[in-house]
Amino acid sequence: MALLQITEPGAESAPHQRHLAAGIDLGTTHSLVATVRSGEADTLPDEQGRHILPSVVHYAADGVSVGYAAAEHAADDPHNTIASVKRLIGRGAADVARLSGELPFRLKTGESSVPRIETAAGDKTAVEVSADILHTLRQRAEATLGDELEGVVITVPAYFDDAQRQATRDAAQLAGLNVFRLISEPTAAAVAYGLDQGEESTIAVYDLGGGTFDISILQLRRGVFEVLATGGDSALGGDDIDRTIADWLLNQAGMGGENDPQRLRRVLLAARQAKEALTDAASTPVEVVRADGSTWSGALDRETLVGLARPLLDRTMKACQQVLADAGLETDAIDEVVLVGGSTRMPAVREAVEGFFGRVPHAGIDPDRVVAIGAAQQADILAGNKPDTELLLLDVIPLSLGLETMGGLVEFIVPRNTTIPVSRAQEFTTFKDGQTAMSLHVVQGERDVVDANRSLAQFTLSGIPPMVAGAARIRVTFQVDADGLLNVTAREQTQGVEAHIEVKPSYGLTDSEIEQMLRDSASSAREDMEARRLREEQVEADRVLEAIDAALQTDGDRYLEPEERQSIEQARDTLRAEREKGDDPDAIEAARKRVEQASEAFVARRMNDSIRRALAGHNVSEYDAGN
Amino acid sequence: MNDPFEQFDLPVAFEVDRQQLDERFRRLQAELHPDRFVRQGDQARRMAAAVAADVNEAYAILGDDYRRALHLLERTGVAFDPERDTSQNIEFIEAQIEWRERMEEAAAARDGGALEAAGEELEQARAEARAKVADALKDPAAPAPEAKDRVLELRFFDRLLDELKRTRQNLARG
Repeated sequence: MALLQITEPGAESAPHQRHLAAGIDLGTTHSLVATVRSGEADTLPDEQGRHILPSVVHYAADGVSVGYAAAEHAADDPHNTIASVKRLIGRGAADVARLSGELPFRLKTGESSVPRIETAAGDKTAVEVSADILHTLRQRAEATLGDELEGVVITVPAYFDDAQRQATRDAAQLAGLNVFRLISEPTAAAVAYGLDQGEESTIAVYDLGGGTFDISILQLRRGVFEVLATGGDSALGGDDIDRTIADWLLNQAGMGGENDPQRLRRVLLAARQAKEALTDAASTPVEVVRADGSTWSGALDRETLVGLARPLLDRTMKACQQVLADAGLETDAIDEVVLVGGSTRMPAVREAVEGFFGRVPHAGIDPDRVVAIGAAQQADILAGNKPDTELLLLDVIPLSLGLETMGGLVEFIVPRNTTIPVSRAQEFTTFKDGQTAMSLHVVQGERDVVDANRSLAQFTLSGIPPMVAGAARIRVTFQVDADGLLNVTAREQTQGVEAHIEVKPSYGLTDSEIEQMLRDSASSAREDMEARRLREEQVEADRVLEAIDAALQTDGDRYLEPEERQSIEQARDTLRAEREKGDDPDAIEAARKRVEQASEAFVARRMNDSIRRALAGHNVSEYDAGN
Repeated sequence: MNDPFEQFDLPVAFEVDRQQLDERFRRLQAELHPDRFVRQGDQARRMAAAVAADVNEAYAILGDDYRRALHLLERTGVAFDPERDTSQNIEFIEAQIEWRERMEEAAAARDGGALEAAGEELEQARAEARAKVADALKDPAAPAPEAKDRVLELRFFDRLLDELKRTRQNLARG
């Protein structure tokens, strides 16, 4: 029950209106978008009825294509066909250089902290490539729903650090999406199966996709989803099984050695089809055309397939063992097992998982879609379409946050698994007499030594009044919001001198860079930037007007002196007038800010009161009925 | 930040009703989590985030024996430097050294059985240390003079148990 939205029926101006929201699974190999319609969450297909969008973008000099159309260029134009960009997002130049050997595209590092990919359509950052994928999904959702999305929930891997989460958010902003919340992929899968309804349980999420394997152990306790441990193999997936089958086929057909890429692709395709056929059948016919045009035909049965897949499955089981050890748990501590990823359709995978954990895994929902479906359910709740729901996902930060101190050691300020949002402060002092500046280095990770952790940001606090060493008091505050995004503030205390700095991760993009990209991006060239900004301001104005009207109606008499009320109403009327005039985004924004300013104390009083009410044990509807 | 006990409307005391604490935490978060404000504009969302962060912090203090005890002491003006202060109790310091040695030997020998046995005894010793803290803080407005030492001793056991857990995990990982 939200503060400005005290929800007795009819408090909102348009109670029947559904708020359009979507869940997006932005995956390494493919992405999906899902929404809740008539109470059911499901993924949305494209015009050809395909739900999956390959996470591939092709940048040609004459245009950008996304998905299946882009994937077709993988062979003929590999440098301009960007796949698996999720492996790069939020990564710095050094990480990317390490990965670049495995990637076909040309990377430019050096002049900027954000690595760029050279394409025929100009240099692209991972954020921009991801934004193009998100934009395609947004268009699909808006075409299906017939109107603009109010907001989305996007899933990210549980192990994504602050820089990767920030970069994902930046990509969404660039695609014109309002992000309600980022949630972790395993959490979304657990939500799709309704496992958040339980009181206390420990859940294993086994996610075997095309090219990656993730295993996460979640703990649900008192409404808090905690990621106990995550592990896996970023280079292991269903594609490896396809390759193993293809090798077997080539062997059977006596075609070892030299084979041209085109023939290899056809054999790979046959391998994949055979694998998929064996999900239902015990045996399937297979055919391979040799170089001389002759055809080998034979059969692949399930037993042979299991034998072929065994080494790969064993590797996943080893990772499961490892992650249980990390979590300090035995297999019998796992209450629920959830399967995610297309490769878990293979009966052999299911059997192996069931054998390992000793319980039947949840597999009723399409494993390709389950993450997007869970995200859609959460988006529906956040959009306010289910005012009665109690579901609240409280998250924890996956990795500890700290500051570098003397000698390259880390002082941890927010330990991992702290429930977010959180704000923690710690005092530091100067090292030298007369020191007037202090360099602050923010890191994320679990190791005591700075170099073993990820460097998130570096900034300098200057203007410290000169004092003897150890006399200054610098208070450094780490604030992590509900998405796990970090803000660091440093403030000198002793002499009342304040300096205040906010940082963004150095691998993220600055606001002005994003703005520039917004201007440059192909998507915004198609849409008129000004018109879009106006629409955004209108939506925001409507949101504020709706909220303030409802708040005044329910609580205006209770908390406001007549003159306070008058000034809020005046600001509100100005906003409404600007909104209705509807042509100047700056004027609407300014008017909205004035409403927010005028109502600040009102908002605070209501917030305090809702705390009191929550503690007094009344639920809000009961309280309101009594007034 | 407001006083955590006040924030949760709980009596100021070392012993807290865990069930009541959890229930109030959920109720507060249900009201105040920024997720409840995603459609209310940035201002409300920011304020909610600040309040929710406060609630999370208060919950973390009230839910942890050591942090709660520390807070009770600080409330009565007992100065505390968690980084530098150690217990002044000679007997305890000796016991502390013995515990450490025992743990290090078992870890060096990679002796899982010895670590497990030490863990059980350590849990018991911690329970005793906790009881002493509870006793010293019987009157939260006027803690016993030895309360600070008792709280530091409790922290020693918490930290050692933490280390033991990590050692055992590393051992299990091989």
